[in-house]
Order: sequence, then structure tokens, then C-alpha cells
Amino acid sequence: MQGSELTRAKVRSALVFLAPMLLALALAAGWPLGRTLWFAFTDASLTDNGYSFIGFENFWNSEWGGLLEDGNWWQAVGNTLYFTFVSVALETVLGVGIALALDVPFRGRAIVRAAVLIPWAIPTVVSAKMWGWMLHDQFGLINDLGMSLGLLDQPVAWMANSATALTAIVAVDVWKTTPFMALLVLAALQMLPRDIYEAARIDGIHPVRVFFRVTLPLIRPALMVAVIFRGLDALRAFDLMYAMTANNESTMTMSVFARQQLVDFQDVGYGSAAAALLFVMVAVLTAAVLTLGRVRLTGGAR
Amino acid sequence: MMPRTLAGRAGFYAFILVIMLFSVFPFYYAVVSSFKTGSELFEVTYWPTFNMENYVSIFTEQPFGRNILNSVIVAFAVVAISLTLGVLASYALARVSFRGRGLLLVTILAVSMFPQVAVLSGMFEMIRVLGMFNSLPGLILANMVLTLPFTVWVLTTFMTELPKELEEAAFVDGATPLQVVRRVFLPLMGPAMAATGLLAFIVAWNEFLFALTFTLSNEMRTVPVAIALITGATQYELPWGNIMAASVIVTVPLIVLVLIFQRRIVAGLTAGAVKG
Amino acid sequence: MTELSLRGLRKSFGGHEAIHGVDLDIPSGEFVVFVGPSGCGKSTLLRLIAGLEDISAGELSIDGAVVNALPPAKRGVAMVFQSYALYPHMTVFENIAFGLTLKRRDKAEVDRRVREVAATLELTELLERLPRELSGGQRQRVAIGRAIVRQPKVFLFDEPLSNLDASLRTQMRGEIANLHERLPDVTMIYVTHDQVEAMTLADRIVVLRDGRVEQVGRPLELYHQPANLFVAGFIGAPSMNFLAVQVSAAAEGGLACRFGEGLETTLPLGIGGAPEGVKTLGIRPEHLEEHPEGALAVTVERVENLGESHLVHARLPGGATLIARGSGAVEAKAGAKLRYALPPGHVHLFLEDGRSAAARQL
Repeated sequence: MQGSELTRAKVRSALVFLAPMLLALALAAGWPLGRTLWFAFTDASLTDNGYSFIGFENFWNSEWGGLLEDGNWWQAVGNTLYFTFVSVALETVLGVGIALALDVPFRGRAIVRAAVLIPWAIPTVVSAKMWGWMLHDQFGLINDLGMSLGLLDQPVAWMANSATALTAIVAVDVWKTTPFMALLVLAALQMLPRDIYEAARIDGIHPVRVFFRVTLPLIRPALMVAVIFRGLDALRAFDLMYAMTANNESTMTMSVFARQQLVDFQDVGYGSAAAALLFVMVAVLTAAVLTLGRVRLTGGAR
Repeated sequence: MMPRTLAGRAGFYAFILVIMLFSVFPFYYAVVSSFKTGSELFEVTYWPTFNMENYVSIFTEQPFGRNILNSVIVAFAVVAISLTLGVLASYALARVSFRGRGLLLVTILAVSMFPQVAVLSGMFEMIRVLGMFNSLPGLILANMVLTLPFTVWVLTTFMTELPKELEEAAFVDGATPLQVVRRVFLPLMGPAMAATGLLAFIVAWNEFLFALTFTLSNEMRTVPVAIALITGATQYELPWGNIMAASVIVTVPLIVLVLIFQRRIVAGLTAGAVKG
Repeated sequence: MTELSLRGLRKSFGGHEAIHGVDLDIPSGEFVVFVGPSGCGKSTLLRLIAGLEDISAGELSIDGAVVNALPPAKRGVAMVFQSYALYPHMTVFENIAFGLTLKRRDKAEVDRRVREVAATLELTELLERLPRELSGGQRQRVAIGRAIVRQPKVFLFDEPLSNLDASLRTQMRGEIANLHERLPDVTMIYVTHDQVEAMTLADRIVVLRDGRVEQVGRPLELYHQPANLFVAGFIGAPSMNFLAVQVSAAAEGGLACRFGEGLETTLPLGIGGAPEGVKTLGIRPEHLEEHPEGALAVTVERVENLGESHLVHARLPGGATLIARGSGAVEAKAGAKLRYALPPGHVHLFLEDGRSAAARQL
């Protein structure tokens, strides 16, 4: 191989250019992740400097059960899965609906499209507080509106009631994240050739049929990517639950559970074990997605 | 396509109106509430008054100015570092074929899927060892795990789309790879950098979990943590007026940015997602 | 003196070899055109010379020095790309000056050289414009200017006219020919799939197919003495007619050619080897002569009038098709019977493996 100086210079530069990024990533992701996975097999705590390897005891032991027999953990798992499935499903349906509407040219479309981005731009903590205020049991707008419209007999303590709190959190997430979904779907819609719609119109096919037979199959790849990314994102949700209900068990997700063990109960080992389980779950799903979508991925770069 | 019957059109515009209300109203209501004090808050109203009392009190009752400054410092530093490292890396990933490139891209994408909490205990330990607990550098470092992978990913997507012949012309003209990046590609990546930088800015500005866990004192908190932890005179009375005023203050700049750069943000989001 | 020399040059991409050992010597100041169908490796060969692709095996030397390992800028080559590849964010001036500024030359000198080049290319008025504000032809001239300003020893063109419309293409072809005259010491290598460009611009043409050189020669040499079936078919439009033929030595000298049932003629030609080895006879459409006693009896299928000439598409009794070019005065209609004669001076004979049998007139 008689590689020219140009090729060698390019490969050399590539390594030099990659090094700072890889170093930063190793420092901010690789090392901490490795440590977390290690802590998961120890009895480390924030209060005590010494710790020792205890194998799988954080996950399961005969003395006090461990994570796999911890009711709170399983509730957190259940909450997370419920939150993920319900919110992503609603966001997808609403997102597609909004995207279809915004795909139609009409006066003021640019304004509506910009307005739709507002919930997405608002920090999660702020939206949690905004909605927390609107859902306030005594002075909240929702109760006031519900009662004056006759939908509610008496004020509901949305966030205090374990039955409604998670639903309320799902609603806030749907409000905040639907725009993201809508814009991704809209981008996919706008890449479709216009003439297929015109052809369908000339053939006199009902718009609903056109949607299910033509539009949906064509945007499905983009939609799937958006749904998968959103789903993986929802599995690690933390901000919304913590800002709305703090460490309340009825809305606690896996991330909230892990942080509570880690920081509030200072049990680094146990919290790390929970974090590790969440990581493994997300990693397995990500690996599955990446393997299935591998062909498209490598096609992305030259 | 636009419905052709009158009823259809009316329905369409009603739907658009609902979308508008759904998107904008909660923030509008926060603005309305932020101008209310005392017992005004106990009554639901829809038109704003302009009482600035809450806006004054969040800056006087607590170090909210300092919190904003912290957020600004952290977000700008995170954006600057992510873009610098990202644009260099993206040249290598998009333009040079070397062994292991595919694996590297997949790894970077996988890191962007990390649950934040999975690095929490390791990061906590590292930050304490490095003496960066309760400091802004610690937060900047922690934020890199969130912004760097997608910055690299999105910039790589954009970089891949630049014509190959431009780079070759520059090589024939005698440019080194660094000169190609600096003098040919970087000026052409302006829109891509703006979009990516803005996304990174929003992520860093909104980041909550690290800022909550790695800071201790009021003076070191960033805005989202400060808002989440605003407390009233008594434990049971949350000062909703103050919370709403603070919320409005940190959200308005973001909304302005988003409205101005709407198209670029969407381009950045779709480049990062659709290609994934 | 040989300026540019290729010795056994090979290029593989992964397991696939795109260039299979090319040998070529190009004297200083020559205008050489690489031509061939798409995928023949002509652009790859150019990019090997430019240094944009790594040479897998063989040797490339410029001015006697092996340059295999040198990066493009150090080889003394300049290149004009198919898409022009102008830097979109730089003005015309900055585009032309870019290579010079990288070398940290004196500002005044850069300015002088850029203006000099701009003047010769009539770009002076456009120096402050951005590429997007220029027409296709102007962009092309900027791309040429960017190459000239570096005072290269070898000038490489990669299908530079393929993005222009037909009339502009003719004009730019003229400008490139002028450029060659103005810079007599600069070697030019030009890649195209357009044989008109090849025929009009080249001192010598290199015909490539599947990564191999099929023939190297002056344009008319390729036209009159194609080395094989491929070159014969590639040069000239419409393509040369090929007829399957059985040949034997005729009693009265010359070659007896048999095209099938009832179609025989004796041509006063001689070849080096055994006449039986000839399998194909080639004749260009413009060389077929309509003649009442011609050897080829055909049925006209279609006539195309081009104005200054006409093309007769005809069929031989055996089913083979033939195209003949005429002067434009058309009489034949579809279904008519015609006869064509084969002027011995224009007949090409090819052996079974496709090589020319090098027929000569007796």
C-alpha cells in the first residue's frame, strides 16, 4: 500500500480531531458510567468512605430482599412503563394530527408553526410549575374551569391523589412534547411528493383512506424513529416528576427512585444498582433498535 | 389538503385554534399569574394586570440574578465546548474513512440515549474528587454527557452533506485538513452550527438533575433548580406569584430564540433524528 | 522529454480493481483527453494523477520524479472540477487567491497575480462577486482562473463542460482550446465522455474501457485506424456498422467476403495473418456508397432527415442492420430495396478477439 501523504494527513488529522471529543466523552460518560456499574455491586454510601464488594446483594439477597423484592422499585418500574407507553402513544397520535393540519397551506401557518414550538422550548421544571399552579387544588384554573363548565362537582386535589397524579404528569408531558413529535412528522410529510395527493384526489379517494393507505406507510420510517427516540427518552424521565411531586411514591419513576436512594438516603450502592438496572434496560432496547436500524445508520455517513 | 366544504373549513380552523390555545395558553396563564400578588392569586382571571411586585421580590428575596448568571455561564460554556469539539470530530467522522468509524458513530449515538441517572453516582464521586462539587465547572463537565453526543451526531450529518469536491479543490489548492475545516467548511456550516448550538443551549439551560444533585448552596444553583426549590415564608405556602415570575423570566429568552431560529431548530432536530 | 509518466498504474477499491495497470507517457505541453463510457475509470485515473486517490500499485512520475506519495498541492497539478467546486462563501477574488494565501505569500503579490489571471479570463469586473451571482460560463472561468493562478505544470479537467448547456459548451470548448495555445508548456489532461470534445480538443486521445487503455492516438488516427472493435464503435456517431463475415483468400488476389446467402464480394485487401481469422467487417455509415451493383443488398426500414445529411436504417437479408449516411437528398422510402458498395479504403477487418486485422489495400 503506497498511501499518499494526503490520505495519511487526513487520517492523522482525524485522530487528532477526534481525541478531544473522545476524551471529554470518556470523562463525562465512560468513567462515571463504569463507576456507577461498579458501585452497584458494593455497599458504598455517601456517609462512609470505606466500602466493599458485595456481589449481587443489592439486586437480591436473602436478608432484606434487595432491589428485586423492593415494592417501591417495582412501583417505580410500573410508573415508568405506564408513563412511557401512555405519553408516547398520545404524543404520536396528537403529533401526527397536528402535523397533518400544519402541512396544509393556510394564512398564518408560520405563526401557528412557531407557536407550537413554545411548549417544547419551555424548561421542563418551568412547565411542571406552570401546570402545578393550574392544577392547584384550591386556586387552580383547571378546577375553576371544570366547575364552571359543570364537569367537576368539587375541586379535585390532582397532585395529592395517587390516582390522578400520574395522569396529570402524563398530560403535562403530552403538552410539552407533542410539538417535538409534530415537527418531526411535519418534516417527514413535507418530503413527500405532492403529486401523490393530487393523483389520489383525481381518483376520488377519501382523504381518510389516503392517509392510512398512502401517507402513513410513507412517513412510517420517520415516525418509527421519532417514537423510538421519544420512548427511550421517556424511560429515563426525571425532571417532570421530581418538580411536580418530588419523591412521591405514586408518581416515582426509575430515575427518581435511583436518585432518592443515592442522594436522599445516601445509599450509593443501592441507588447505583437501580440506576444500573435502568441503564441495562435502556441499553438493551437501544442495542435492539440500533441493530434493526443498522443499515440506515451507516448510510448516514460517507 | 384543505377541506372544501364550508363546514370542513370551519372545522379545520377550529382545530388550528385549539392547537394555538393548547400551545400558548398555559404560558399566557403563567404570565397573567406572575403579575398577581396576595389574594389576587386566589381568584382565576384571564386578563393581565401589570403589577411588577413579584418580579422585584424574586431578585430581592433570593439570589435569582446570580442563578441566571450561573445558567448563562454554564449554558454558554457547554455550547462553546460542545461545538468546538463537535465540529472537529464531525470532520473526522463525516469526511475521513478510518477503521472503526461505524462503531464510533454507533457508540456516540448510544451515549446520547444514556439515562442521566446512570452516570449520577460515578459523576458525583468524580466531581467530589476533582474538587468541583457545588461549582460551575462541575456542572459544565456533567452537561457534556448530554450535549456532546448529539452535537457530534447532528454536525456529522450536516458535514456529510457538504460537497466532496469543495474539500478536494481545497486540497489541490494546498490546504491542510485543519485549514479545510476552518476556512472552507466552517463558514458553510454557519446555519448548522447555529441550529446545533441552539439545541445544546436549550438542553444545558434546562438541565435539572445534575444541577440539583451537584450544587448545594443557593448561590451556585442554576435557574431550573432555583425555581423548583423556591419556598415561601412557611413550609405550606408556596409563593406562586414569585414562581410564575421566575418562570416567565427564564422562558421569555428561550421563546424569543425559538421563534427567531424556528426553521434552523427544526432542521437540526430532523437532521439528528430522521437520519438516526 | 517526458513530463508525465504512468507505469503500471493500478487502483483498487476494496477488492474491486478499477484501474488495471495503465502505462502512458505524456510529453510536456500536450493536450491529452481521456475518453470512454461511464465507469471506464477515466475519472479515477485523473484523480490518481491529481493525488486525490491513493495509487494501489505502479509508479506516477512528473518531471522524472516519482510523486506517488506527494499530496496534490506538491505535485504541481491544478484541477478544474465537474461542479467547479467554487468556495461558495468567498468572492471571485478570494476563490482565485485561496491557494496563494495558504502559502502566506506577500499580499501585494497575491493581488497582482490574481488580477493578472482575472484580466486574461475577463473576470476583472466580477472579482467582488460571489459564485452564486455568476452565470455557468463565468463560474467555469473562475474555476479555470483558480487553477491557472497556481502556475501548474499539469492542468487536470474533470468533465468541466458537462454542466453547461449546448451553446455555452461550444463556446467554452473554444476558450479551453485557446487556453492551451496560450500556455504551450502546460500539460493538459481532460476527461470527458463526449467524443466531440475529445476529437476537437485533443492532441492525443486515450480511450479507456473497464480500467484498461484500449488505444492511444491522435484523433484522426483513432477514427481511421481503430485498434479494435471497441474503439471503432466508440469513436464516430452514428457508430461504425459491424457485419459478421466469413473471409477466405480469393483466387485473383484480395479477400473473398461472404455475408450470408447470396451476399458475396471480393475486396482488394490484404492482411498479415490467415484470412479465415477475420470474423467482423466494419464500415462507417458515412463511408457506405449507394451503388446499383454494390455488394450489400438491403431493405430500407426508416429514413431520418437531419437537414445537412440523412441516415438510412436498413436491414440485410440475414437480419443484420446497417446505418448509412447520405448527402441529404433523400429518395429512398421505407420498404425500398437498395444496394451499398464497400469502398475498400474504408473497410475495417477485425479478428475474433476484436483486434483489428490491419487490412491494407492491394
